[in-house]
Amino acid sequence: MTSVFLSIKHVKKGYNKGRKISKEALKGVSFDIHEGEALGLIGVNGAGKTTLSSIIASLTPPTSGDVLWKGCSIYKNLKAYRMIVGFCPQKPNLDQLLTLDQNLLFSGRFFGMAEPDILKRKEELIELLELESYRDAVTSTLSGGYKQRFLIARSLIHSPKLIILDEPTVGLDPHIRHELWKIIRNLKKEGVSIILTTHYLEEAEAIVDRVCMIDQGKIKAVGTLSEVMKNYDKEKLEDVLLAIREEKS
Amino acid sequence: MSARIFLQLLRRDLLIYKKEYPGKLLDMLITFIVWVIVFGYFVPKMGGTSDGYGVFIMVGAIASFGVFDIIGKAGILINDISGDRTISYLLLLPISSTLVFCYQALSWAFQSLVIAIPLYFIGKGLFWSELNLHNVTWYQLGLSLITVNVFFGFFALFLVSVLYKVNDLSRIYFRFINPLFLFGCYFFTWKVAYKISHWIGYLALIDPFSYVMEISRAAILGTHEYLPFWASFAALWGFTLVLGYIAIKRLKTILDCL
Repeated sequence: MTSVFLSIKHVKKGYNKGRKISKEALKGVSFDIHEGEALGLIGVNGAGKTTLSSIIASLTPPTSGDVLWKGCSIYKNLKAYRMIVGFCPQKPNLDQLLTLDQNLLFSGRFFGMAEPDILKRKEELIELLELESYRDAVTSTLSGGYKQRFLIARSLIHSPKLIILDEPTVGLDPHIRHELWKIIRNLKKEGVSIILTTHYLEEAEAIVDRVCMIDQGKIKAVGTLSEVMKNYDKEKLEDVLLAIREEKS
Repeated sequence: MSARIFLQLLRRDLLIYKKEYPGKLLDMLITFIVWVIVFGYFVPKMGGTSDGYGVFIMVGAIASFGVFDIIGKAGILINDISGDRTISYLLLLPISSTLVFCYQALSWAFQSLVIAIPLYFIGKGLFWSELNLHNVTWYQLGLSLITVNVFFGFFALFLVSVLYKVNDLSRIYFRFINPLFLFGCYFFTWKVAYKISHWIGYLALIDPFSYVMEISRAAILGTHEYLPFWASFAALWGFTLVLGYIAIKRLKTILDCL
């Protein structure tokens, strides 16, 4: 087992309506992410996956609980933590008026990279994600699949040690999804820790080392695919998810 | 590091704005020239205005035009917050969210400033003999341009923080911004308002747009007819700090960010 990279400790998240908490999206979530592993956050829509990945990315603060990196709270040195994290959101939040090339250039600058390093890294990513033909295209003109590739490229520009992919293949054609899986597997080979949020079970089965099953803001199971299926006495991840849903009802 | 990111954010906006600038300048020029011709030449022919009314209106028009451009940009941000939230990318950079919001306001301020500067040259061309450059206090003009446009930037950020839908912007415009402008010493000086009624004068002092007009005119036309330059300067920075503080606090809550 590799060493623990990140620890999520008793994280709760409530959304307020006035002064009252109207919805508790996460109800005391705890688990670890190991160095160089791909962890799948699995759950149905509304389970709390996006909220959890936003907290791990440090976009949203938890209502209570903590996220520990190297044993220390990420909130004590947020800037240092953000330097090693890449976040690929579900909705494409691109700078629509710049070209893909310019977007990547500025993304590198935002992370304080030296100009030659940005140029080198930019070329590597354009090649890796097969974006060469679109480098001078304004991002608003890209198709869904290429927008997603670009988002992954942007989140990798500063060579993060952890990348959070929030539903990266939603709405994409099957062949593009398979190409993105290949890219994610390559990242894993490079030693990048990956958190993949998805509700496509075949995607989790194809990519991740361990899964974290989440339902109604609670962690229901964490472990390798075989461990989780064995614990629930099921042969498919889909059946585990159905069993979890049935537990609730 | 934060300063470097802050500057890179501004640099990115400049690159985008460079493409928009000629069109924006043309929009403002057309409005400005029409405005100045009507109020500077036609209206005085009807009588009832003093000499130099055209120059008086011109300075107010230049000072205020920036806000109309910025309000449009505020609308884009309101749309973004209720839609794709591209701003969330900036909120994940290794920089505090307070600085991200300040950058946004200052970027808008700069964009409005670079529209205002050429309008002064055009204005001088339109009122060649009436606009006496000996009355201009140049460093005060520089300070007033910066102060007014920074105020506009944070005022727009404040609007973003209090509005949830872009459609609300036009309602706010008609109900609040336009009355604030019209009562904010656009067509008259503060001293005239005070002469009409002391209460109207005092009310005008709680309208930040009064200071926008008075500071610009004091710097260009001389201080004797207007509020003291430094009083307007201090008041505008006060409004900027208060509106900026409220805006940033509210935006952090709305966007639920660190």
